[in-house]
Amino acid sequence: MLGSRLITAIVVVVGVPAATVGYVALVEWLVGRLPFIWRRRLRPWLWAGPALAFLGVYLVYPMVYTFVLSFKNANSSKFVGIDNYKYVFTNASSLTTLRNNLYWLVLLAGAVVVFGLLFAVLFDRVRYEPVVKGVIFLPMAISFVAASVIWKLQYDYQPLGVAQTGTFNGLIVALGGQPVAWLVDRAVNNFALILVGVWMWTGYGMVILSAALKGIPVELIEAARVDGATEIQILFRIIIPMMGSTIAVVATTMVINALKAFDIVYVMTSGNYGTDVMANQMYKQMFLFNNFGVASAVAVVLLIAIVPVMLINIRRFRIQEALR
Amino acid sequence: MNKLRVFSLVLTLVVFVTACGATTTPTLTTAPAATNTAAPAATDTTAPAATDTTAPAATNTTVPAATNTTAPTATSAPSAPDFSSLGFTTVLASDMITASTAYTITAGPYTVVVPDNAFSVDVQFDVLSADPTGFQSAVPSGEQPVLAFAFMVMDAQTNEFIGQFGAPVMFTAQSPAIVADSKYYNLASDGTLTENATGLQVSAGMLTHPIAGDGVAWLITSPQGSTVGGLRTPEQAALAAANGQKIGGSVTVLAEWTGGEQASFLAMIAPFETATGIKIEYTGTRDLPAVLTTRVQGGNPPDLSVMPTPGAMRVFAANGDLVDLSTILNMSDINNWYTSGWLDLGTVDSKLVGVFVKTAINGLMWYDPKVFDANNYQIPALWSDMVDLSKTIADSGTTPWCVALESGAATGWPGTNWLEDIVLRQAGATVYNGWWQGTVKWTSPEIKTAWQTWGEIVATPGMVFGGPNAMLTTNFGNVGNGLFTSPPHCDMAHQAIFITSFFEGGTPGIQPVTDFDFFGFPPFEANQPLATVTSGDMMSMFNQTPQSEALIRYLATPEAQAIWAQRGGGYQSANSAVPISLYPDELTQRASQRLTQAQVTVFDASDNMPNAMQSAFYTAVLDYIQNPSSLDSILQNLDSVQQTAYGQ
Repeated sequence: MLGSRLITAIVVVVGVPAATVGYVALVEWLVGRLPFIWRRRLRPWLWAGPALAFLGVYLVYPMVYTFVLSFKNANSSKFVGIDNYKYVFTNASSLTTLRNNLYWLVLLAGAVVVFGLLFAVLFDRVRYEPVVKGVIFLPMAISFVAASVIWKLQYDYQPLGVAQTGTFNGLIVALGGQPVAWLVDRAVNNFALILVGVWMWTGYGMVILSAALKGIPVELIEAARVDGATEIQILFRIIIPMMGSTIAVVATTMVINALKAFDIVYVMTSGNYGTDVMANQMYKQMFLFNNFGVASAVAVVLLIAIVPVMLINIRRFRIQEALR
Repeated sequence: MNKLRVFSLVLTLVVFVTACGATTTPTLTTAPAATNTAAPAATDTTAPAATDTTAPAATNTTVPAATNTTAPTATSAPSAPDFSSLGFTTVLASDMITASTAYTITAGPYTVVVPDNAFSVDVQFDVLSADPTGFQSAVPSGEQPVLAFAFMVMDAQTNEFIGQFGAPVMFTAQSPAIVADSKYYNLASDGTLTENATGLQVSAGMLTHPIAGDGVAWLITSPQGSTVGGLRTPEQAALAAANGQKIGGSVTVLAEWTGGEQASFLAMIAPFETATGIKIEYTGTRDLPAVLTTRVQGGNPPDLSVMPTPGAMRVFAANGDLVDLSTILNMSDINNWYTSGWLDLGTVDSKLVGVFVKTAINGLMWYDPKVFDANNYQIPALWSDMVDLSKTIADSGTTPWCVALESGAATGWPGTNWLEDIVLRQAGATVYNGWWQGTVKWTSPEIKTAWQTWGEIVATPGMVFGGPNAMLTTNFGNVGNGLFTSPPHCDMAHQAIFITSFFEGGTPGIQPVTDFDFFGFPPFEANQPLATVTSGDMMSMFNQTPQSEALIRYLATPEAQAIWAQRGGGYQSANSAVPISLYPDELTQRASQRLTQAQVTVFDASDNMPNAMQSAFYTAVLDYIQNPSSLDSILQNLDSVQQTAYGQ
């Protein structure tokens, strides 16, 4: 048992680099026998070839296949046209998930940028900055499932007259209010879930924005002060415009995270009480209902929603590169 | 190496000395001085050898020191007695126990509680069993051997046999073959028997005895032919299932039982393995539907398998995968043991393809008898009485009901159980079956009425503690917590039999019958036949071999099912020949009576629906609790799911 494991480990540790080096050596040997002009044309493709092959097998092929499946029925035995997409955009529960993803998108991206920026700017001015930033960043280290369980306990609800076990309701009742069923009450439950996401991601936004903030030349800000600008004016007229591209990066990352939101919803409400999101819907259709058609259609819709965000990211990246 | 040996020698000495001390512990003081005489006798010989010989010499002076002669010299390690020549070839458990650590071994019908001072070294503790019928000639006439077992305890470091434990372990055997007159014998390696009543406690179905080692095996006997409920011993039942022949071979079994359930199933089949020589290759997986489907489609089905749901069983049967059991089982026995309701559930196209091995009753109403007595509340005979009682309780200032629907991804299922209980009793079994089969619409008057009937309790303000929010956020396991507060938050709760363990966990110290009890889900009209909704596991056969035939015959017997019944854990048998008295407590006994006496037995409807339908049902329960006035649109939505969910 141990012996076979050891052999596997040796094969992996030695074999993988050896195969990589072997491939490169082989390619170079082959390319070396070609005329000079072909060497230049072929070499990049051959060097990048394995990576492209992996990408094709593990990303492009499943993507295309998912696209095909989205036009087939539940067990993929016959084509049904756009029925699955019709379902996604007309079914009442499916529409709720679209609405919720919109909530996630706007609120998660918005709150992470605003709080991240706020913390970055405020903590930039205190001596104990590393400690506070560490604390804010800490939730990033927890898994989403663990965080959801923690917050589920915080949101715990007990009827009035019974000892409150949730942090929030404990506070509310101590102040003389009525306990709120945070995860069940449709007026607040979506926001309660998004708050968990904000709690988890704010640290990430803060760290990136703080790094950008420290990249702004001090002379610039001092010059503004000398010219009589107020701190608020400096923030909105100098700091934020100069951090524009970084803010865009954080915001687009959060948009992608919002579209992918799954763990928090799955653990805390399972998508009940009007809190379902698309990723959870995809999971249910696929693994619970064995409906490959609708599951694939949801996946394609998610993909299409993410594409523009990625395009924006790439364009910004290109502009930045061009400026350098 | 040498140092190690000296060390283990010292350890053996220590163990020996402590063992001598152990003879004065309370558990052993009732001994008829037999064990006490052991010590001087033993100390006469050299120490390591003594550990080997103490017990036989002590408990049986008639044994001609058989083990003495084989005892090694003082310099070598004590060797293990040869149990295999006596027939102890089946290893029921092989557990590693850390030094000075308390540990509990469960092995077949046996439980061995090892106290922390039993071993001062890490040990490998094996529990061996033998076919007890092989010892028939050795036991006094009028008795029959029912269980035979031995311990093989080895020092994990040195691999030396440990014949004497630092403190006695508490041994328990559970079997319907044990009766109040059962006897316990030491079985020396030369085959001689000596009765050992030291610290022995026997009751119907259960025997406990402290064991401090001994280097002997043990045999439990019962008076000839006297078992609980007149059952055969499990070994006899197993042998009969194999047509009286020790045929050997093996059989593969697949089921969803893991953990405690797996241990109970293994206990159930242990006598079968010893009696027939057939080895059972058991696989337990929580992902039964996927594993079974994959294996069947891959042409590699298990010989026997538990069916994930009756629905899945019907699919396999329709594909011709399942063997008709009516040609294999003795149908006159089966008809005596199982009411027609149970057999109907396992019948497809008039072929019996599944037989229930394990069941559980749904739909029991739990209450605190002290509260009912104090307020002079009567157990309601009808649903309308129960609603009246609820109003009476509400008027007295207590909310009558606790309802708890939260259960992670399956939140809502306790509500589906309520509705199933109502549909069955209000609309009857035909509508009930059409409902889960997808032929009765959700918007049909019967189903809609059932929801509205449930609404008399859950959609009526003041009827449920905490209202909708508490219902939706309280975990199903905590449904009973409010029954036992002072003053109680509620006086009644609805849940299946398994909830008792949650009651005891949530409110430590409460006792069944005195602190909590149940009444059956009330019918809607007087003189309705007793109906129950159940859930449970059916065993079906994919491959017909002599071994799989023997096993399914055995599993259907009351002797086999009694083993699991005794072990508890919410297990109930559908076999009416399993003696009710064997269930571990009175509540389970009464619940089991309802189960076997029911004239109408149906299976949990939501578990029988396609996944998409079941999931929509769960969500519908939650939506209804939040907004009862939207019932019509909820049911219409369920109808639209019904149209697509069954087509797949």
